[in-house]
Amino acid sequence: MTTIHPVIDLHAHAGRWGSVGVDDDPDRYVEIMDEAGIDRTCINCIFYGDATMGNDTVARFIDRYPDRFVGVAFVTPHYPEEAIPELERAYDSLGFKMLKVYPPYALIPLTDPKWAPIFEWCDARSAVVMSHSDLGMPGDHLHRPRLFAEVARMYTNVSWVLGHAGNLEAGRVEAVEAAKHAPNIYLETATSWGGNGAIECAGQDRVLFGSDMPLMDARYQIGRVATSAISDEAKHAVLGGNAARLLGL
Amino acid sequence: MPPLMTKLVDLNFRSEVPVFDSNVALGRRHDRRVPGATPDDLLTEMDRFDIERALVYCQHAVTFDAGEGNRMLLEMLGGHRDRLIPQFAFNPAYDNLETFVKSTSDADVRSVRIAPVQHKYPLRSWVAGEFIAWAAGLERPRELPQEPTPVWVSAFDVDPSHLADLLETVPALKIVLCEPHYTQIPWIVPLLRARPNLYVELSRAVIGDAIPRLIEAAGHSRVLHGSWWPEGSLAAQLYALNRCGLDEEQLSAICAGNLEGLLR
Repeated sequence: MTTIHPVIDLHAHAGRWGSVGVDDDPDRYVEIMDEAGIDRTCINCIFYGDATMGNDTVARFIDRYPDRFVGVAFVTPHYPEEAIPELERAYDSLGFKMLKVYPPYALIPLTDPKWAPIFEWCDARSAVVMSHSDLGMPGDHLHRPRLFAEVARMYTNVSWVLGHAGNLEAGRVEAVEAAKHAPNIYLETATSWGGNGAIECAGQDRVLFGSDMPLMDARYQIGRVATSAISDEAKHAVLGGNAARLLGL
Repeated sequence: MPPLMTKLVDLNFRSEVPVFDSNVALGRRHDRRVPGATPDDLLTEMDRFDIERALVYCQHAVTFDAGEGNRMLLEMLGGHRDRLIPQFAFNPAYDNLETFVKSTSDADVRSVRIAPVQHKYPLRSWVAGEFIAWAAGLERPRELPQEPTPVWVSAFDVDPSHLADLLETVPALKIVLCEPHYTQIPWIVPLLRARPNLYVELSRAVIGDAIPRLIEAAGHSRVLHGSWWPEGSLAAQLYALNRCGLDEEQLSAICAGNLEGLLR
C-alpha cells in the first residue's frame, strides 16, 4: 500500500441541512475522515444570513477537534457594514485560514462590485478565497469559471479556488482554461457529476482535494483521486501537498 | 505536521472481493467526448483494479433508440461476453414487445433498462403495462423462462410516485434504481424501506454516509455496486465501499453476489 500524508480536505461544510438529509455532527465527521485517510479538513458554514452565526458554528468544530479542523470564514455582501469586521474577527481572533464565498446563495455574480470591499480586503491579506463554480446548471451566470479569470486579474494577490473545478464537463473545460490564463487560480476536486481531466490539463500543482462533506462522502472523493490514472507524485500534491503550501499548514 | 490516527490512503487500490459492476455504458455520446467508449477501453480500466465483470448497456439505446442501441451493443461486445454482460434497453411507448422479447431470448440478455423521462412517457400501466407484466414474469408463454427480468432505471429518469405505485401494484417486479443522487436521497430512503422489490445501485450515492444509510434502509441484499462509467470513476465508489466497515459477506454481496442473483 502506498500512502500519503498529510491529506487535507479543502472543502467541507458545518451546519445542518435537513432538506437533503445531512447532519453536522463533528464526531461523525472525524470518524469518516479517519476511514477516508484525511488528516485535516477545512470547514466553512455558509447557511446563515448572519455570517457571525456561521463562523461561530465553525469555531465550535475547531474547539472540539483543534488538530483536525481548519477554519474557513464566510461573509455576505448583503451586509457590507458587517463583512470586514467579521473577516477580521474570523482571521485574527478565530484563526481561520481562508474565505468561502457562495454566489448562488447570495445571488450576486462573482464579478459584481458588491463583492469589491471583501475582495479588496482579501487582496491586502493575500488570502485564499474559494467559491462554488459550475457551468451548465441553473444560475451558472453567477459563478461560471470564466468569471474567476476576471477576478483573478483584478485581485492578483488572492489565491482563487474554484470549488468543484467547474463541476460539469463544460465547466471543467472552462475552469482549466481559466487556470491556464491566471497563475493565481486553483481547482478543487469535489463533484457528484463524474468527470476527469482537471489534474491532467491544469497541472498537478494547481489542483486541490476537496470532499464537500457532508453533502458528499469523503471516502468516495478520496477514491476519485486515489484511483485516478495520475502519478503518485501528482496524487501527493493534490491530496495535501498543494493545500499545505497554500494555507501554510 | 505529524501523521495522525487515520487510516492511510491507498494509492494501489485493488478490490479484496470479486466485483461485478452493475452500471456501465458503452459507445460514444453525441454531446461530448467520454473517457472511454469501447470494450477495450473498459477492460483496460477494469484490469487496473481487478474488476472481473461488468453489466453493460449501450448509451445510444437510452439517448436515441433502444432497438438500434441494443444491436450496436451486441456488435461492440463481440468476443468479450465472458466479462461484459449485455443489458438491453426498451422503450414501451415505441418498441415492439414481442420483437424485443425474442431479441433478449436470442442473445441471452437477462436484464432491461428503461428511461421513462428521456423516452418521454410516464411509467404507468396504460403505457407500459404489457412490458411490466413480462418483466414481472407474468403471463409468459411456457417456452420462455418464467423468472422475472429485473429492470434498471436511473433515479433521474423516473417519477418517484409512478415508481412507488408500480412497485406496490406489481410485487413480482424487481427494479434496480440507479445513480441515486444526493438530491433524491430524501425520497429514495423511505421508498427502499417501503418496497421490498426495489434495489438500489450505488454509483452516485455520494452524500455523506450514503452507503451505510442505503444499506440500513434496504438491507445489504438489495444494494448493488455500480460505477456509472464512463461518466463516473470506475473505482471511486468501490474504494469507498471498502472503507465503510462492511464485513466480507456484505461486501461480496454488494460487489457481485446480489447482481449475480438478479441475473440468474
